[in-house]
Amino acid sequence: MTATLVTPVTDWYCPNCGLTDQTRETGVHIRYHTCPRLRFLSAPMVRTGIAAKVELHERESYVGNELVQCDPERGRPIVSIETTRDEGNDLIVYAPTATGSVD
Amino acid sequence: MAFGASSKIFSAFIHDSVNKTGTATLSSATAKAALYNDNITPNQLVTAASSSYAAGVWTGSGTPNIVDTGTGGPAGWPYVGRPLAWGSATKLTTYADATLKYDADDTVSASGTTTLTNAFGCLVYDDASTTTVDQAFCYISFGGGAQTVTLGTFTIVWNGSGILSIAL
Repeated sequence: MTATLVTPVTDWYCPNCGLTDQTRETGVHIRYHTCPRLRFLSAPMVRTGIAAKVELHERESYVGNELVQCDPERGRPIVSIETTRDEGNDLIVYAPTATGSVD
Repeated sequence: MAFGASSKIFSAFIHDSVNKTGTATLSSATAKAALYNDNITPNQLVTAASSSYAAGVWTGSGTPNIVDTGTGGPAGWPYVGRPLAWGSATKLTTYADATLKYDADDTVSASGTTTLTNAFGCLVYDDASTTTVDQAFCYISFGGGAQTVTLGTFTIVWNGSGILSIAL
């Protein structure tokens, strides 16, 4: 008997810019895209059929000497992108760099 | 106490590396990132022992060390942390670069139903270090605010400038 392996197809959309896409992967994964409505950051897409919002959170603490990550559009320091669904949320945290110098 | 909004390299790691008294190394294939809440005050100037996972303020398997208990599915972020990986990222720059940079691929929870409450930062350590067990390289603050995920995916996107960097 021959087993047929079927790769699942997942449809995605972006609630901010409306882009749609499709992936053919097994396992847990998230589709990303460069979102023009989210300051051109690499933002997660949402599975079609799931209501969600995707938001950017800026850093509120003083930056000081921290080497933080900034959005490409405004150059503002960012902390995270959050996808909020009815039953939970996903979080992408943009970590700063621990720095040192030999001067 | 507060985790604070600063990310620091442990001086003990640099000291032990230069002095060849430690076994924690950036070339380790078993580095991990463990999560912590706001109930600690990190200090970069502590001993090697106190900078290690499950030592000093970096309590393991209990408050303030954060774990996904797996109640919503398989545990997505264990107490010991998620392993760093280098599928596309370059682990360490070469001697020819004026800035030493240690990097890794983005670190993602192992489960899409992970629940983590009030993660303020993480400890990056060498799980294979033996002279000082689980000695850490650095700690990273997520910006001073609580990061919480419910039945979802938690991802740390490491800075393009690296997890740690040293300007030479």
